[in-house]
Amino acid sequence: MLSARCHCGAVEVRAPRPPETLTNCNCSICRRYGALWAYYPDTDVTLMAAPDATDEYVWGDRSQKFIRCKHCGCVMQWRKLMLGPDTRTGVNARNFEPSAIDGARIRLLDGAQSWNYLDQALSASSPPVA
Amino acid sequence: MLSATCHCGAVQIEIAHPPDAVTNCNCSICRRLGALWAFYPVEAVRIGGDPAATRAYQWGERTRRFVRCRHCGCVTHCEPAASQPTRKLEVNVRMFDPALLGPVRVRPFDGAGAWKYLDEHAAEASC
Repeated sequence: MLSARCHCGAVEVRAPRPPETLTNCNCSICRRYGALWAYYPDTDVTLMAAPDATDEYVWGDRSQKFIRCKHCGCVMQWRKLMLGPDTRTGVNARNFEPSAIDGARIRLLDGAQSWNYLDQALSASSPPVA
Repeated sequence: MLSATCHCGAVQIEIAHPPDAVTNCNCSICRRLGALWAFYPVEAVRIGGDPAATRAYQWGERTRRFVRCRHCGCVTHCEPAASQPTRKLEVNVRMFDPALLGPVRVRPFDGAGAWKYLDEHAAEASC
């Protein structure tokens, strides 16, 4: 179990394990939040906060909400508004202890345009390994 | 003049010129906010929007105010508290279109420990 805590401590997000990869997305909201997302099944993640301790931001097609601490403003998690059995969630790994994400690989997601991982595009353009 | 806004547009920022470098600080608040800070004299930055559209976070010695949009939560800048003599303001360049800023040097700052730029340390070590 691993906890992400906001700066003031009012909000905690519990995840089952340290992430192996983190997503750095360049879409209009992620680049502004400067977030590094660790993905988990939504059911594996628990948000621990008083009911009035968080603010949420929903926009565009209103498919997901970005949850932040109402006091210190740290962006903690995004969740889908419509939850299904396989729904995943993103936990902002900036709020984990840095040692917990030391070994994680950071992947660049072109959320602003192609919606592809840029490292995938790179490997696709290099010759196949025999 | 370079302009940017928070995600929902309620807070606007204007700077006269792009920064030469931005600071990526690993202190307890900066690492969580994921901010990239560009330093300007207060007079060189125009912050637009209704002041009621923002919230600020202060902690510790309460010398700085981390200002964010009340609606979308984007941290747009960090300003000295009214009690402070310093007239420097940090703009979070994450608000700016990367294409507008052009290439910017990112300087890692060890705000969690040594309180100095790590690239300076590297330069010293290599002498």
